[in-house]
Amino acid sequence: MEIKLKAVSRESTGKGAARKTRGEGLVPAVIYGHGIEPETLQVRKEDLQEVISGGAGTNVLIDLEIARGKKKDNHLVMIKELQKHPYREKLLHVDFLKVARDEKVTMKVPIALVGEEDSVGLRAGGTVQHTLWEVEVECLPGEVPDHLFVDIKDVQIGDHMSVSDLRTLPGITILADAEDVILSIIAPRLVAEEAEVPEEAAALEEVAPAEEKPGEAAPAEGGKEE
Amino acid sequence: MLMPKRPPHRKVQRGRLKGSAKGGTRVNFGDYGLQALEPAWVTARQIEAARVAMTRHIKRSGKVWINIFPHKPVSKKPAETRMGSGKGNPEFWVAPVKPGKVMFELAGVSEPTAREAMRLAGHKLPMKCRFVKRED
Repeated sequence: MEIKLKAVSRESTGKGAARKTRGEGLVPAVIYGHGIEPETLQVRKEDLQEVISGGAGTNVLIDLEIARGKKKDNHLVMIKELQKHPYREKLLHVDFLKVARDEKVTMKVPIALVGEEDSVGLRAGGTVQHTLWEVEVECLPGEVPDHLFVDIKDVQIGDHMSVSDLRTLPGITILADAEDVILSIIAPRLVAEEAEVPEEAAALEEVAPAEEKPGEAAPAEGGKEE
Repeated sequence: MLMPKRPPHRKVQRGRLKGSAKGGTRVNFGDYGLQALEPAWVTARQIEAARVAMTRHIKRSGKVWINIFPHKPVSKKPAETRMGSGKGNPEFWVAPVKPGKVMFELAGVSEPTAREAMRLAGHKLPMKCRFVKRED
């Protein structure tokens, strides 16, 4: 099921024009792929926000209606890249990739955990150490899953789960190496804490005299360099 | 405290902090992060103080990542010294941080705990910060 989104063709290019577009509450965009000439577009910020705020994030199939004056045409697209401001809640640019319903696409799908409440390792005080957050999959555009799930119910402390442990879905090929580690359950740090406490206490002691006599402590630090 | 093992130069120029962070602006390793909203030099002591505040609050459960490192030596002339006679001695180390940089990350704790830990850590830092979560 695809989501409808309206876009307008944009003539001007470059950062000045893009900034002006953003100033008008629009997001600059581009459409390419599947044999069409790349075309610059603009979409309403609110509309785009609504599309990506669903559970699937950017892995959604979009029915993009492009208006060129009075002419309108529709394209089946997916979001290839979404640029965001480094620290403000601003969408800067979006790339739409034109897809065909019967041709497979390669997408990155996030990995979600299940069985966290009943997990043997977590109940014993372990912590999940994630190493892989998303995997590349190949599937038809309409079959891109929101998440791929991995069950950590029976995972003990010290064990790990790899790509081969992911719950597979029909029609989806996982492109990542089956041996790649997704997560491991690491031992609680309370065991290793005994050794860490004096270190931290030592660190605090180091800071404390320095605060009292900044003039003396600082050159000693610089002196180390010499 | 954090400092380079083999600094390439004892003294460096101050430089400028223009623009926003180019990379490291999203939560990459953990579930939660502390993001800088202003440019500033973060000293090795401030990084350590923030780390201690955070680990104490989470009672050493979970895992902490520090994404910044004080690579830059800062020199200072002694008090009541006349100008001239060359650059001062290296005094401390700083990490130049631009807005947007996720400086600390945290995993393996609940969101309220992470929020409070980051709030405490943020008070040890010289710039405005905000709590951020991993984006799916």
